Amino acid sequence: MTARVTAEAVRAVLDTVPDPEMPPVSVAELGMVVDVAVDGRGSVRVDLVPTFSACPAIPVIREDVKRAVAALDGVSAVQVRYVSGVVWDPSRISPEGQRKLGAFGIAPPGPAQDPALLQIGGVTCPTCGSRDTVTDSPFGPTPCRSTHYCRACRNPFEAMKP
Amino acid sequence: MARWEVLGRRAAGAAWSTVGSVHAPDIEMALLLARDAFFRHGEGADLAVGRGRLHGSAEDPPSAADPAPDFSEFRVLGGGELLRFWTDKSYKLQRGYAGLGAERRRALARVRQAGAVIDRPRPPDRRQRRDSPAPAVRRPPAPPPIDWSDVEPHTGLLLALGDDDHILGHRHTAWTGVAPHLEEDLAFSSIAQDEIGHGLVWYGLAAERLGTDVDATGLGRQPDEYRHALLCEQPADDWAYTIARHLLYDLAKQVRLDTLAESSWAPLAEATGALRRELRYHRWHAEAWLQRLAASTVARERLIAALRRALPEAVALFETVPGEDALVTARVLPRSHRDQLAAWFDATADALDAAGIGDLVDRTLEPPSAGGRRGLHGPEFMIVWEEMTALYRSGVGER
Repeated sequence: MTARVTAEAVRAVLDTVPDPEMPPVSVAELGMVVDVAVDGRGSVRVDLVPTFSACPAIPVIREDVKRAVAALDGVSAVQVRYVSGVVWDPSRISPEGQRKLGAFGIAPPGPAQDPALLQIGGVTCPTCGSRDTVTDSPFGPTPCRSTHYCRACRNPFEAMKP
Repeated sequence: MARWEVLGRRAAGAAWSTVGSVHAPDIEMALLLARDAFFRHGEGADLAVGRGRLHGSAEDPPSAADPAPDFSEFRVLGGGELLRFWTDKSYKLQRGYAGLGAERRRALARVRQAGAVIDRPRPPDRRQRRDSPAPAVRRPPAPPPIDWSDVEPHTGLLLALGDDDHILGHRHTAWTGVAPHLEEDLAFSSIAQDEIGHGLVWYGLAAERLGTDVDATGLGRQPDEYRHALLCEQPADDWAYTIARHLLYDLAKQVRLDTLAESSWAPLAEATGALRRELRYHRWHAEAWLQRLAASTVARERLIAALRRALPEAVALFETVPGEDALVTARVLPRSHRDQLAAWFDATADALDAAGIGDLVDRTLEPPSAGGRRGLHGPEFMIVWEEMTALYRSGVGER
Protein backbone atom coordinates (compact mmCIF):
# COMPACT_ATOMS: atom_id res chain seq x y z
CA MET A 1 0.00 0.00 0.00
CA THR A 2 1.59 3.24 -1.12
CA ALA A 3 0.77 6.64 0.25
CA ARG A 4 -1.40 8.93 -1.83
CA VAL A 5 0.65 11.80 -3.24
CA THR A 6 -0.51 15.36 -2.54
CA ALA A 7 0.12 18.67 -4.32
CA GLU A 8 1.85 19.85 -1.13
CA ALA A 9 4.29 16.94 -1.30
CA VAL A 10 5.03 17.74 -4.95
CA ARG A 11 5.59 21.42 -4.17
CA ALA A 12 7.88 20.43 -1.30
CA VAL A 13 10.03 18.32 -3.59
CA LEU A 14 10.14 21.12 -6.22
CA ASP A 15 11.72 23.22 -3.49
CA THR A 16 14.68 20.83 -3.58
CA VAL A 17 15.25 20.75 -7.37
CA PRO A 18 18.22 23.06 -8.00
CA ASP A 19 18.41 25.48 -10.90
CA PRO A 20 21.19 24.09 -13.13
CA GLU A 21 22.82 27.50 -13.61
CA MET A 22 22.40 28.73 -10.02
CA PRO A 23 22.42 25.55 -7.92
CA PRO A 24 21.95 27.13 -4.47
CA VAL A 25 18.45 28.19 -5.55
CA SER A 26 15.61 25.81 -6.35
CA VAL A 27 13.33 26.12 -9.37
CA ALA A 28 10.45 26.76 -6.95
CA GLU A 29 12.31 29.55 -5.17
CA LEU A 30 13.04 31.14 -8.56
CA GLY A 31 9.30 31.33 -9.17
CA MET A 32 9.31 28.95 -12.12
CA VAL A 33 6.44 26.79 -10.82
CA VAL A 34 3.07 28.00 -12.10
CA ASP A 35 0.80 25.15 -11.12
CA VAL A 36 0.80 21.65 -9.66
CA ALA A 37 -2.11 19.28 -10.27
CA VAL A 38 -2.49 15.81 -8.77
CA ASP A 39 -5.30 13.39 -9.53
CA GLY A 40 -6.61 10.48 -7.43
CA ARG A 41 -4.57 7.89 -9.35
CA GLY A 42 -1.19 9.48 -8.56
CA SER A 43 -0.79 11.23 -11.89
CA VAL A 44 1.02 14.56 -11.47
CA ARG A 45 1.18 17.54 -13.79
CA VAL A 46 3.65 20.36 -13.15
CA ASP A 47 3.36 23.63 -15.10
CA LEU A 48 6.53 25.71 -15.32
CA VAL A 49 7.53 29.04 -16.82
CA PRO A 50 11.11 29.66 -17.98
CA THR A 51 12.97 32.80 -16.85
CA PHE A 52 13.77 33.63 -20.49
CA SER A 53 12.31 32.00 -23.63
CA ALA A 54 15.76 31.09 -24.92
CA CYS A 55 17.04 29.65 -21.64
CA PRO A 56 19.22 26.67 -22.63
CA ALA A 57 18.43 24.98 -19.31
CA ILE A 58 14.75 24.49 -20.24
CA PRO A 59 15.03 20.78 -21.17
CA VAL A 60 17.42 20.07 -18.27
CA ILE A 61 14.99 21.55 -15.75
CA ARG A 62 12.11 19.60 -17.29
CA GLU A 63 14.00 16.31 -16.80
CA ASP A 64 15.21 17.24 -13.29
CA VAL A 65 11.66 18.07 -12.19
CA LYS A 66 10.28 14.92 -13.77
CA ARG A 67 12.87 12.75 -12.01
CA ALA A 68 12.37 14.38 -8.61
CA VAL A 69 8.58 14.10 -8.73
CA ALA A 70 8.63 10.54 -10.06
CA ALA A 71 10.72 9.50 -7.04
CA LEU A 72 7.90 10.47 -4.66
CA ASP A 73 5.83 7.72 -3.09
CA GLY A 74 2.51 7.13 -4.80
CA VAL A 75 3.33 8.87 -8.10
CA SER A 76 2.25 6.88 -11.14
CA ALA A 77 2.89 9.37 -13.94
CA VAL A 78 4.50 12.80 -14.29
CA GLN A 79 3.86 15.39 -16.96
CA VAL A 80 5.95 18.58 -16.99
CA ARG A 81 4.79 21.41 -19.25
CA TYR A 82 6.06 24.87 -20.01
CA VAL A 83 3.13 27.24 -20.22
CA SER A 84 3.05 30.56 -22.02
CA GLY A 85 0.17 32.29 -20.25
CA VAL A 86 2.45 33.52 -17.46
CA VAL A 87 5.40 35.86 -17.92
CA TRP A 88 8.28 35.30 -15.55
CA ASP A 89 9.84 38.30 -13.91
CA PRO A 90 12.04 38.58 -10.82
CA SER A 91 9.11 39.49 -8.57
CA ARG A 92 8.31 35.76 -8.74
CA ILE A 93 11.50 34.95 -6.79
CA SER A 94 10.63 34.05 -3.18
CA PRO A 95 12.25 35.97 -0.29
CA GLU A 96 14.26 32.86 0.53
CA GLY A 97 15.31 32.59 -3.11
CA GLN A 98 16.41 36.22 -3.09
CA ARG A 99 18.50 35.62 0.01
CA LYS A 100 20.19 32.55 -1.48
CA LEU A 101 20.85 34.33 -4.78
CA GLY A 102 22.48 37.19 -2.88
CA ALA A 103 24.70 34.75 -0.99
CA PHE A 104 25.63 33.23 -4.39
CA GLY A 105 26.65 36.71 -5.63
CA ILE A 106 23.59 37.48 -7.76
CA ALA A 107 21.42 40.43 -6.77
CA PRO A 108 17.69 40.62 -7.46
CA PRO A 109 16.91 43.78 -9.46
CA GLY A 110 16.92 46.97 -7.46
CA PRO A 111 14.00 49.22 -6.56
CA ALA A 112 15.17 52.20 -8.62
CA GLN A 113 14.94 50.64 -12.05
CA ASP A 114 12.96 52.25 -14.79
CA PRO A 115 11.66 49.42 -16.97
CA ALA A 116 11.05 51.75 -19.90
CA LEU A 117 14.64 52.94 -20.07
CA LEU A 118 16.22 49.81 -18.66
CA GLN A 119 18.32 51.86 -16.34
CA ILE A 120 19.12 48.93 -14.14
CA GLY A 121 20.36 51.22 -11.41
CA GLY A 122 20.12 51.09 -7.65
CA VAL A 123 20.78 47.37 -7.56
CA THR A 124 22.02 46.41 -4.13
CA CYS A 125 25.54 45.00 -4.17
CA PRO A 126 25.36 41.39 -2.90
CA THR A 127 28.88 41.69 -1.46
CA CYS A 128 28.70 44.87 0.66
CA GLY A 129 25.05 45.94 0.50
CA SER A 130 25.74 49.34 -1.05
CA ARG A 131 23.36 50.83 -3.60
CA ASP A 132 26.14 52.88 -5.19
CA THR A 133 26.32 50.54 -8.18
CA VAL A 134 26.35 50.94 -11.95
CA THR A 135 25.25 48.66 -14.79
CA ASP A 136 28.04 47.27 -16.95
CA SER A 137 25.82 45.46 -19.41
CA PRO A 138 22.27 44.15 -19.50
CA PHE A 139 23.67 41.03 -21.17
CA GLY A 140 25.37 38.75 -18.68
CA PRO A 141 26.48 35.11 -18.64
CA THR A 142 22.93 33.80 -19.03
CA PRO A 143 19.95 35.46 -20.75
CA CYS A 144 18.31 36.27 -17.39
CA ARG A 145 21.35 37.96 -15.79
CA SER A 146 22.96 41.40 -16.19
CA THR A 147 26.41 42.53 -15.02
CA HIS A 148 27.09 45.39 -12.58
CA TYR A 149 29.90 47.09 -10.71
CA CYS A 150 29.84 48.29 -7.11
CA ARG A 151 31.56 51.65 -6.62
CA ALA A 152 31.63 51.18 -2.85
CA CYS A 153 33.47 47.85 -2.56
CA ARG A 154 34.75 47.80 -6.17
CA ASN A 155 33.44 44.35 -6.90
CA PRO A 156 31.79 43.29 -10.13
CA PHE A 157 28.57 41.33 -9.60
CA GLU A 158 25.50 40.03 -11.42
CA ALA A 159 21.80 40.65 -11.02
CA MET A 160 18.57 39.10 -12.28
CA LYS A 161 17.25 41.26 -15.13
CA PRO A 162 13.99 43.13 -14.50
CA MET B 1 54.77 27.44 -9.15
CA ALA B 2 57.87 29.41 -10.06
CA ARG B 3 57.96 33.11 -10.71
CA TRP B 4 59.74 34.13 -13.90
CA GLU B 5 61.13 37.58 -14.55
CA VAL B 6 60.27 38.96 -17.97
CA LEU B 7 62.76 41.11 -19.86
CA GLY B 8 62.16 42.84 -23.15
CA ARG B 9 63.88 45.14 -25.60
CA ARG B 10 62.49 47.46 -28.23
CA ALA B 11 64.91 46.48 -30.97
CA ALA B 12 67.60 43.91 -31.52
CA GLY B 13 70.78 45.15 -29.82
CA ALA B 14 68.92 47.67 -27.66
CA ALA B 15 69.16 47.52 -23.89
CA TRP B 16 67.05 45.01 -22.04
CA SER B 17 64.62 46.23 -19.45
CA THR B 18 62.46 44.37 -17.00
CA VAL B 19 58.80 44.51 -17.90
CA GLY B 20 57.21 42.32 -15.24
CA SER B 21 56.89 38.76 -14.13
CA VAL B 22 54.72 35.71 -14.73
CA HIS B 23 53.97 32.57 -12.77
CA ALA B 24 54.51 29.38 -14.73
CA PRO B 25 55.51 25.77 -14.11
CA ASP B 26 58.22 25.72 -16.78
CA ILE B 27 60.11 27.98 -19.11
CA GLU B 28 58.01 27.22 -22.20
CA MET B 29 54.84 28.21 -20.45
CA ALA B 30 56.58 31.27 -19.01
CA LEU B 31 57.57 32.39 -22.52
CA LEU B 32 54.04 31.86 -23.73
CA LEU B 33 52.47 33.79 -20.86
CA ALA B 34 55.06 36.57 -21.10
CA ARG B 35 54.34 36.95 -24.79
CA ASP B 36 50.58 37.09 -24.24
CA ALA B 37 50.76 39.36 -21.21
CA PHE B 38 53.41 41.87 -22.29
CA PHE B 39 54.11 41.62 -26.03
CA ARG B 40 50.83 40.85 -27.70
CA HIS B 41 50.67 44.17 -29.51
CA GLY B 42 54.23 44.00 -30.77
CA GLU B 43 55.72 46.05 -27.93
CA GLY B 44 59.23 44.74 -28.44
CA ALA B 45 61.58 42.88 -30.74
CA ASP B 46 62.82 40.34 -28.22
CA LEU B 47 61.56 39.01 -24.97
CA ALA B 48 63.23 36.83 -22.43
CA VAL B 49 62.20 35.05 -19.28
CA GLY B 50 64.44 33.87 -16.54
CA ARG B 51 64.25 32.48 -13.06
CA GLY B 52 66.42 33.84 -10.29
CA ARG B 53 67.35 37.11 -8.67
CA LEU B 54 65.43 40.02 -10.04
CA HIS B 55 67.82 41.83 -12.29
CA GLY B 56 67.63 45.21 -13.91
CA SER B 57 67.06 47.65 -11.10
CA ALA B 58 68.04 51.26 -11.75
CA GLU B 59 71.44 50.73 -10.09
CA ASP B 60 72.10 47.48 -11.84
CA PRO B 61 70.61 47.61 -15.35
CA PRO B 62 70.69 44.48 -17.48
CA SER B 63 73.24 44.81 -20.29
CA ALA B 64 72.69 43.83 -23.89
CA ALA B 65 75.58 41.39 -23.74
CA ASP B 66 74.66 39.69 -20.51
CA PRO B 67 71.11 40.51 -19.58
CA ALA B 68 70.74 38.14 -16.69
CA PRO B 69 73.93 36.77 -15.22
CA ASP B 70 72.26 35.49 -12.10
CA PHE B 71 69.41 33.60 -13.69
CA SER B 72 69.55 29.87 -13.23
CA GLU B 73 67.45 29.28 -16.33
CA PHE B 74 67.13 31.81 -19.11
CA ARG B 75 65.79 31.87 -22.62
CA VAL B 76 65.33 34.54 -25.24
CA LEU B 77 62.48 34.54 -27.75
CA GLY B 78 63.97 36.56 -30.60
CA GLY B 79 62.32 38.83 -33.16
CA GLY B 80 61.47 36.30 -35.85
CA GLU B 81 60.39 33.72 -33.34
CA LEU B 82 58.28 36.23 -31.48
CA LEU B 83 56.37 37.10 -34.63
CA ARG B 84 56.02 33.50 -35.64
CA PHE B 85 54.30 32.70 -32.38
CA TRP B 86 51.79 35.47 -32.50
CA THR B 87 48.29 34.21 -32.81
CA ASP B 88 46.61 35.27 -36.00
CA LYS B 89 43.91 37.74 -35.01
CA SER B 90 43.15 39.03 -38.49
CA TYR B 91 39.50 38.13 -38.04
CA LYS B 92 39.26 40.79 -35.35
CA LEU B 93 39.89 43.52 -37.91
CA GLN B 94 37.45 44.94 -40.41
CA ARG B 95 39.84 44.10 -43.22
CA GLY B 96 39.80 40.51 -42.00
CA TYR B 97 36.53 40.21 -43.87
CA ALA B 98 38.11 41.12 -47.23
CA GLY B 99 37.42 38.44 -49.77
CA LEU B 100 34.40 37.09 -47.95
CA GLY B 101 32.15 37.87 -50.91
CA ALA B 102 34.35 35.84 -53.24
CA GLU B 103 34.48 33.03 -50.72
CA ARG B 104 30.70 33.04 -50.49
CA ARG B 105 30.34 32.93 -54.26
CA ARG B 106 32.70 29.96 -54.35
CA ALA B 107 30.71 28.22 -51.61
CA LEU B 108 27.52 28.90 -53.52
CA ALA B 109 29.01 27.43 -56.70
CA ARG B 110 30.01 24.33 -54.75
CA VAL B 111 26.50 24.04 -53.34
CA ARG B 112 24.96 24.45 -56.78
CA GLN B 113 27.34 21.94 -58.28
CA ALA B 114 26.27 19.43 -55.67
CA GLY B 115 22.66 20.19 -56.69
CA ALA B 116 21.21 17.18 -55.00
CA VAL B 117 22.17 18.50 -51.60
CA ILE B 118 19.68 21.29 -51.88
CA ASP B 119 17.01 19.28 -53.64
CA ARG B 120 16.69 16.63 -51.00
CA PRO B 121 17.92 15.89 -47.50
CA ARG B 122 21.39 14.49 -47.19
CA PRO B 123 21.28 10.73 -46.51
CA PRO B 124 22.17 9.92 -42.93
CA ASP B 125 25.86 9.21 -42.51
CA ARG B 126 25.96 5.77 -40.98
CA ARG B 127 29.26 4.46 -42.26
CA GLN B 128 30.19 1.58 -40.01
CA ARG B 129 33.23 -0.59 -39.77
CA ARG B 130 32.25 -3.86 -41.34
CA ASP B 131 33.19 -5.98 -38.33
CA SER B 132 31.21 -3.94 -35.84
CA PRO B 133 27.46 -4.28 -35.74
CA ALA B 134 25.51 -1.10 -36.34
CA PRO B 135 24.31 0.35 -33.05
CA ALA B 136 20.62 0.04 -32.48
CA VAL B 137 18.97 3.37 -33.23
CA ARG B 138 15.73 3.90 -31.42
CA ARG B 139 13.47 5.55 -33.95
CA PRO B 140 10.14 7.09 -33.18
CA PRO B 141 7.33 5.86 -35.40
CA ALA B 142 7.57 7.77 -38.68
CA PRO B 143 5.09 10.62 -38.60
CA PRO B 144 2.88 11.17 -41.61
CA PRO B 145 4.67 13.40 -44.13
CA ILE B 146 3.73 17.06 -43.85
CA ASP B 147 3.20 19.21 -46.91
CA TRP B 148 4.93 22.27 -45.49
CA SER B 149 4.03 24.52 -48.38
CA ASP B 150 0.34 23.83 -47.96
CA VAL B 151 -0.38 24.20 -44.25
CA GLU B 152 -3.49 26.03 -43.09
CA PRO B 153 -3.20 29.80 -42.45
CA HIS B 154 -2.82 29.65 -38.63
CA THR B 155 0.16 27.33 -38.94
CA GLY B 156 1.53 29.28 -41.90
CA LEU B 157 1.54 32.44 -39.79
CA LEU B 158 3.41 30.60 -37.00
CA LEU B 159 6.00 29.32 -39.49
CA ALA B 160 6.56 32.84 -40.86
CA LEU B 161 7.00 34.20 -37.32
CA GLY B 162 9.29 31.36 -36.29
CA ASP B 163 11.38 31.45 -39.46
CA ASP B 164 12.02 35.20 -39.22
CA ASP B 165 13.32 34.89 -35.65
CA HIS B 166 15.19 31.64 -36.24
CA ILE B 167 17.00 32.60 -39.45
CA LEU B 168 17.89 36.07 -38.20
CA GLY B 169 19.15 34.58 -34.92
CA HIS B 170 21.28 32.18 -36.93
CA ARG B 171 22.74 35.08 -38.93
CA HIS B 172 23.37 37.10 -35.75
CA THR B 173 25.54 34.28 -34.39
CA ALA B 174 28.14 35.12 -37.05
CA TRP B 175 29.42 37.74 -34.58
CA THR B 176 29.93 35.33 -31.71
CA GLY B 177 33.63 35.52 -30.88
CA VAL B 178 34.36 38.41 -33.26
CA ALA B 179 32.07 41.23 -32.12
CA PRO B 180 33.70 44.66 -31.72
CA HIS B 181 34.52 44.12 -28.03
CA LEU B 182 34.10 41.53 -25.31
CA GLU B 183 30.90 42.87 -23.72
CA GLU B 184 29.42 43.25 -27.18
CA ASP B 185 30.32 39.68 -27.94
CA LEU B 186 28.24 38.57 -24.94
CA ALA B 187 25.43 40.98 -25.70
CA PHE B 188 25.01 40.08 -29.35
CA SER B 189 25.38 36.36 -28.71
CA SER B 190 22.68 36.71 -26.07
CA ILE B 191 20.41 38.49 -28.57
CA ALA B 192 21.07 35.80 -31.18
CA GLN B 193 20.21 33.15 -28.59
CA ASP B 194 17.00 35.00 -27.74
CA GLU B 195 15.96 35.17 -31.40
CA ILE B 196 16.48 31.45 -31.87
CA GLY B 197 14.58 30.85 -28.62
CA HIS B 198 11.70 33.00 -29.86
CA GLY B 199 11.69 30.96 -33.06
CA LEU B 200 11.30 27.88 -30.86
CA VAL B 201 8.25 29.38 -29.15
CA TRP B 202 6.46 29.80 -32.50
CA TYR B 203 7.68 26.43 -33.78
CA GLY B 204 6.35 24.83 -30.58
CA LEU B 205 2.85 26.10 -31.34
CA ALA B 206 3.12 25.06 -35.00
CA ALA B 207 4.45 21.61 -34.10
CA GLU B 208 1.54 21.07 -31.74
CA ARG B 209 -0.95 21.82 -34.52
CA LEU B 210 0.85 19.56 -36.97
CA GLY B 211 1.47 16.70 -34.54
CA THR B 212 5.22 16.81 -35.06
CA ASP B 213 8.17 18.09 -33.00
CA VAL B 214 10.00 21.43 -32.92
CA ASP B 215 13.18 20.03 -34.49
CA ALA B 216 11.29 18.78 -37.52
CA THR B 217 9.48 22.10 -37.73
CA GLY B 218 12.55 24.27 -37.44
CA LEU B 219 15.12 22.12 -39.24
CA GLY B 220 13.29 19.47 -41.23
CA ARG B 221 12.09 21.51 -44.17
CA GLN B 222 13.41 22.10 -47.67
CA PRO B 223 14.73 25.59 -48.43
CA ASP B 224 11.63 26.63 -50.36
CA GLU B 225 9.44 25.56 -47.45
CA TYR B 226 10.84 28.28 -45.17
CA ARG B 227 8.80 31.47 -44.93
CA HIS B 228 11.14 34.15 -43.56
CA ALA B 229 11.59 37.55 -45.19
CA LEU B 230 14.65 38.38 -47.27
CA LEU B 231 16.06 40.67 -44.56
CA CYS B 232 16.65 37.77 -42.19
CA GLU B 233 18.81 35.66 -44.48
CA GLN B 234 21.36 38.29 -45.54
CA PRO B 235 24.91 37.63 -44.33
CA ALA B 236 26.12 39.53 -41.27
CA ASP B 237 29.57 40.44 -42.58
CA ASP B 238 29.39 44.16 -41.83
CA TRP B 239 28.75 45.63 -38.40
CA ALA B 240 26.92 48.71 -39.69
CA TYR B 241 24.55 46.53 -41.71
CA THR B 242 24.14 44.16 -38.76
CA ILE B 243 23.11 47.05 -36.51
CA ALA B 244 20.85 48.58 -39.18
CA ARG B 245 19.08 45.27 -39.67
CA HIS B 246 18.90 44.60 -35.91
CA LEU B 247 17.24 48.01 -35.40
CA LEU B 248 14.77 47.71 -38.28
CA TYR B 249 13.88 44.14 -37.40
CA ASP B 250 13.28 44.81 -33.73
CA LEU B 251 11.14 47.86 -34.53
CA ALA B 252 9.11 45.61 -36.83
CA LYS B 253 9.00 42.92 -34.19
CA GLN B 254 7.61 45.43 -31.71
CA VAL B 255 4.76 46.32 -34.11
CA ARG B 256 4.19 42.62 -34.76
CA LEU B 257 4.11 41.55 -31.11
CA ASP B 258 1.95 44.53 -30.11
CA THR B 259 -0.47 43.40 -32.84
CA LEU B 260 -0.43 39.72 -31.89
CA ALA B 261 -0.91 40.54 -28.18
CA GLU B 262 -4.48 41.51 -29.19
CA SER B 263 -5.05 38.29 -31.12
CA SER B 264 -8.35 36.49 -30.65
CA TRP B 265 -6.37 33.24 -30.68
CA ALA B 266 -5.26 32.81 -27.06
CA PRO B 267 -2.08 30.74 -27.55
CA LEU B 268 -0.73 33.36 -29.96
CA ALA B 269 -1.60 36.29 -27.69
CA GLU B 270 -0.16 34.51 -24.62
CA ALA B 271 3.13 33.78 -26.36
CA THR B 272 3.79 37.48 -26.88
CA GLY B 273 4.05 38.18 -23.13
CA ALA B 274 7.55 36.82 -22.53
CA LEU B 275 8.73 37.86 -25.99
CA ARG B 276 7.71 41.47 -25.49
CA ARG B 277 9.51 41.56 -22.14
CA GLU B 278 12.69 40.24 -23.76
CA LEU B 279 12.40 42.47 -26.83
CA ARG B 280 12.91 45.52 -24.58
CA TYR B 281 16.56 44.51 -24.17
CA HIS B 282 17.03 44.09 -27.92
CA ARG B 283 15.57 47.51 -28.60
CA TRP B 284 17.68 49.08 -25.90
CA HIS B 285 20.76 47.52 -27.49
CA ALA B 286 19.87 48.48 -31.07
CA GLU B 287 19.08 52.06 -30.14
CA ALA B 288 22.27 52.43 -28.06
CA TRP B 289 24.31 51.36 -31.10
CA LEU B 290 22.28 53.57 -33.43
CA GLN B 291 23.13 56.59 -31.29
CA ARG B 292 26.76 55.61 -30.94
CA LEU B 293 27.31 55.11 -34.68
CA ALA B 294 25.26 58.17 -35.62
CA ALA B 295 27.41 60.38 -33.39
CA SER B 296 30.57 59.41 -35.26
CA THR B 297 31.74 60.52 -38.72
CA VAL B 298 32.92 57.50 -40.72
CA ALA B 299 30.65 55.14 -38.81
CA ARG B 300 27.71 57.46 -39.47
CA GLU B 301 28.23 57.30 -43.23
CA ARG B 302 28.52 53.53 -43.13
CA LEU B 303 25.41 53.29 -40.97
CA ILE B 304 23.39 55.46 -43.36
CA ALA B 305 24.54 53.39 -46.34
CA ALA B 306 23.60 50.22 -44.44
CA LEU B 307 20.17 51.64 -43.55
CA ARG B 308 19.53 52.53 -47.19
CA ARG B 309 20.32 48.94 -48.10
CA ALA B 310 18.34 47.34 -45.27
CA LEU B 311 15.19 49.49 -45.42
CA PRO B 312 13.75 48.01 -48.65
CA GLU B 313 14.71 44.52 -47.44
CA ALA B 314 12.92 45.15 -44.14
CA VAL B 315 9.73 46.19 -45.94
CA ALA B 316 9.50 42.56 -47.07
CA LEU B 317 8.77 41.62 -43.44
CA PHE B 318 5.28 42.97 -44.15
CA GLU B 319 4.45 40.73 -47.08
CA THR B 320 1.01 39.21 -46.54
CA VAL B 321 0.92 35.65 -45.25
CA PRO B 322 -1.10 33.06 -47.18
CA GLY B 323 -4.73 33.25 -46.07
CA GLU B 324 -4.21 36.66 -44.47
CA ASP B 325 -7.72 37.98 -45.18
CA ALA B 326 -9.32 35.15 -43.22
CA LEU B 327 -6.85 35.61 -40.34
CA VAL B 328 -7.60 39.34 -40.19
CA THR B 329 -11.37 38.81 -40.31
CA ALA B 330 -11.16 36.30 -37.47
CA ARG B 331 -8.89 38.75 -35.60
CA VAL B 332 -6.27 36.05 -35.25
CA LEU B 333 -4.15 38.74 -36.88
CA PRO B 334 -5.85 41.88 -35.57
CA ARG B 335 -3.99 44.20 -37.94
CA SER B 336 -3.14 43.37 -41.54
CA HIS B 337 0.49 43.48 -42.57
CA ARG B 338 -0.30 46.56 -44.63
CA ASP B 339 -1.45 48.38 -41.49
CA GLN B 340 1.52 47.07 -39.55
CA LEU B 341 3.80 48.43 -42.27
CA ALA B 342 2.38 51.92 -41.80
CA ALA B 343 3.00 51.69 -38.04
CA TRP B 344 6.55 50.49 -38.69
CA PHE B 345 7.24 53.37 -41.09
CA ASP B 346 6.24 55.77 -38.29
CA ALA B 347 8.30 54.01 -35.61
CA THR B 348 11.34 53.81 -37.88
CA ALA B 349 11.12 57.46 -38.92
CA ASP B 350 10.89 58.43 -35.23
CA ALA B 351 13.89 56.30 -34.24
CA LEU B 352 16.08 57.66 -37.06
CA ASP B 353 14.97 61.18 -36.34
CA ALA B 354 15.81 60.81 -32.64
CA ALA B 355 19.33 59.74 -33.62
CA GLY B 356 19.69 62.74 -35.96
CA ILE B 357 19.95 60.53 -39.06
CA GLY B 358 17.22 62.31 -40.98
CA ASP B 359 14.41 61.02 -43.11
CA LEU B 360 15.52 57.86 -44.92
CA VAL B 361 12.11 56.19 -44.85
CA ASP B 362 10.54 55.89 -48.28
CA ARG B 363 6.86 55.26 -47.66
CA THR B 364 6.21 54.32 -51.26
CA LEU B 365 8.12 51.05 -50.81
CA GLU B 366 5.91 47.99 -51.16
CA PRO B 367 6.49 44.48 -49.84
CA PRO B 368 6.71 41.81 -52.55
CA SER B 369 3.42 40.17 -53.45
CA ALA B 370 5.11 36.77 -53.57
CA GLY B 371 8.41 36.63 -51.66
CA GLY B 372 9.80 34.95 -48.59
CA ARG B 373 6.39 34.19 -47.09
CA ARG B 374 5.75 31.99 -50.13
CA GLY B 375 9.08 30.24 -50.04
CA LEU B 376 11.04 32.44 -52.42
CA HIS B 377 14.53 33.11 -51.13
CA GLY B 378 17.83 34.42 -52.40
CA PRO B 379 20.95 32.33 -52.99
CA GLU B 380 22.29 33.41 -49.58
CA PHE B 381 19.67 31.29 -47.91
CA MET B 382 21.05 28.10 -49.46
CA ILE B 383 24.25 28.63 -47.50
CA VAL B 384 22.36 29.34 -44.28
CA TRP B 385 20.12 26.33 -44.83
CA GLU B 386 23.02 23.96 -45.53
CA GLU B 387 24.82 25.01 -42.38
CA MET B 388 21.78 25.29 -40.15
CA THR B 389 20.25 21.92 -40.98
CA ALA B 390 23.41 19.84 -41.51
CA LEU B 391 23.36 18.23 -38.08
CA TYR B 392 19.66 17.52 -38.18
CA ARG B 393 19.91 15.95 -41.64
CA SER B 394 22.86 13.81 -40.55
CA GLY B 395 20.59 12.11 -38.01
CA VAL B 396 23.19 12.48 -35.23
CA GLY B 397 21.60 12.74 -31.79
CA GLU B 398 18.25 11.59 -33.05
CA ARG B 399 15.77 11.33 -30.24
